[in-house]
Amino acid sequence: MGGKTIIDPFYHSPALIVFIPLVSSLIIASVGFISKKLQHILFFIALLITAFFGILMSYEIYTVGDWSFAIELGSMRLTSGDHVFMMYFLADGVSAMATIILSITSVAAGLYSYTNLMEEEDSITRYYILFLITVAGTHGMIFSANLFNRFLWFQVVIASTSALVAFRKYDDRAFEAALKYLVLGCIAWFFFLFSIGIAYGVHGEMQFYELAEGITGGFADRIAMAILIVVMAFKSGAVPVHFVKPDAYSRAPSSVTVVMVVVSQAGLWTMFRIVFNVYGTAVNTYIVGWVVIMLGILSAFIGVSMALVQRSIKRLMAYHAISQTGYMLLGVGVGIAVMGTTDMGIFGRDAMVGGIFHIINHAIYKGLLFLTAGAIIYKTGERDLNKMGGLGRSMKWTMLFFIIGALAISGVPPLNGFTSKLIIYRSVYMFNPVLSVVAMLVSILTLASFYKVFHSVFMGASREKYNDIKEEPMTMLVGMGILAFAVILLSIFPGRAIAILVEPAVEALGVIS
Amino acid sequence: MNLYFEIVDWNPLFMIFMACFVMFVIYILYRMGNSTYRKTKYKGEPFLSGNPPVGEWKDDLEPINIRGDSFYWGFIQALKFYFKPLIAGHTGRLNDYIFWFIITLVVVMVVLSFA
Repeated sequence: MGGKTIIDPFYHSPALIVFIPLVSSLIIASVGFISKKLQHILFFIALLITAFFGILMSYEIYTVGDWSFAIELGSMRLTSGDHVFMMYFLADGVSAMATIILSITSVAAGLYSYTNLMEEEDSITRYYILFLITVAGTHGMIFSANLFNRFLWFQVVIASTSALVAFRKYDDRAFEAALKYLVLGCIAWFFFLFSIGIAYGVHGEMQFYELAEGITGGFADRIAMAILIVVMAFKSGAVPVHFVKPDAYSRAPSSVTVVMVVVSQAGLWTMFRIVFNVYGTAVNTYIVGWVVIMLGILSAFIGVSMALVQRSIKRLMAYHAISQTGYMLLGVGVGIAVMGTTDMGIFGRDAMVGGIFHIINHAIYKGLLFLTAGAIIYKTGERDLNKMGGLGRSMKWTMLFFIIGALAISGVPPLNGFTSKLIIYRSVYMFNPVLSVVAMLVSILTLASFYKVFHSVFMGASREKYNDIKEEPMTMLVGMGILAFAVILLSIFPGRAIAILVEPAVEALGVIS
Repeated sequence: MNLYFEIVDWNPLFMIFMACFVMFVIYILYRMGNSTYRKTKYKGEPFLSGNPPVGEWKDDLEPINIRGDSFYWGFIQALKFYFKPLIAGHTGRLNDYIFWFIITLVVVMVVLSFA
């Protein structure tokens, strides 16, 4: 740790990446009376600048190494003494990969939302502000090197995403979904605080690496870890704590859903950090690994099963998001189960690489699929697959983007979904062949489910009510195009992507083969 | 661009190259076909004994759309014992969501207390 010094210009860049969207949201709120178009331009510029610094900082991490720092926010004198409020940042392989994912998806979603949401003129300012706060909060979660800081950002993200789910004021179901998301988020938030309290009460520390030094694997440690794992499983949408995800994902505007997928992944990153960087081998990793594996297998299988019977296009995709989370948990779960053994070098590290590579793949192709679903809903006003058909004639670009996303998520070679799944299948097979067979079965069902969507939406005879439909506006197409291009890049150069993005993240989690 | 792990070797460009090669071979075979072939009215249409000629029959067809629900209907019916409780479990009620959260928390806490 400590590849940088304070005089380095990029030293504080993680803080900048968090604060740029926050400050921009205030500016955007104040220019609303001038022009809505100006607001959107500023909104997009803010996302671009954040993404630029995110990618620049990631480059610094890959070339110079990890570093961490703290910013003092203020102090308070209480009867127990003087208390200083600090914000701790950690820039390493995990934060670099997570910020790159968020940068790409938020820029694509921001561009896409220009025409997609312009009709909602009354509430568009609210959208810009909440979207930027969500981006800032997710970056905050990604960079926090301290449990309590992460807990605060978790709270920010829960509040802002709940409000974004209820963005369309006239949609009762969106309100219901937002309320459920908020209530469950608050319950999870409470338990998160409770587990931090246990850890702090026992060890007097909340920073990851300082806390890790004190962890002995005692009963209190194990209970705190169990709570943290379940809270982060909820955040990532793992079965059986997944129920609110389909509700929220399906009713939120599609550009928001794209970012919500990455927000969910911040939960996964937190879980991995806690298990690897904080608890490590102080606990029985075989049992912890199997808990994560079971969460993964349940998510993969139940997620895809529920997707198969859905008739709402976005709800179907939401269940697939749950199912894909299962692959990530499965890969990393195997890595956890063999942590500290010789198997880590044989297949554990590969399983981790597969699981983590699947995180970036999933964010990109699932984002693309949600955007195509949003484009279809935007043009037809319809979510029900039973009422669609023949749209392939009028929405050719959308159909092409959908095919790219659907083939990638189904693990069809040579697309990126295949690469990460191949690594997972092979490495998980060496751990337990049954798990690998279930993972392959899930992939077949995923393909079947997306064929259903493809045929229901794009194939068949044209329906009379859709005769006048034309292709979406350019900004929406470009938004989808960015993600489709990223899918193709990751498909053609998986070795490069793993070497640049995934390997540093695996190393940052302290995995030594 | 290549993936060389302990257990996985994969090169997407090789696969794309092979796909192009196979398409090229198909094209060569196509070019080697009978160039005197002329398409007439019913040539190439499926022959269904007893039915009217396909060319005339086709004109009477209504435009067809397969509903989303119709896909895999048989598969889902055959596995009703699995799908029915699964769908019923997703009630949409917040109380149930909280119930599952607490149950999961308890189970994981009990299991990990032995970790």
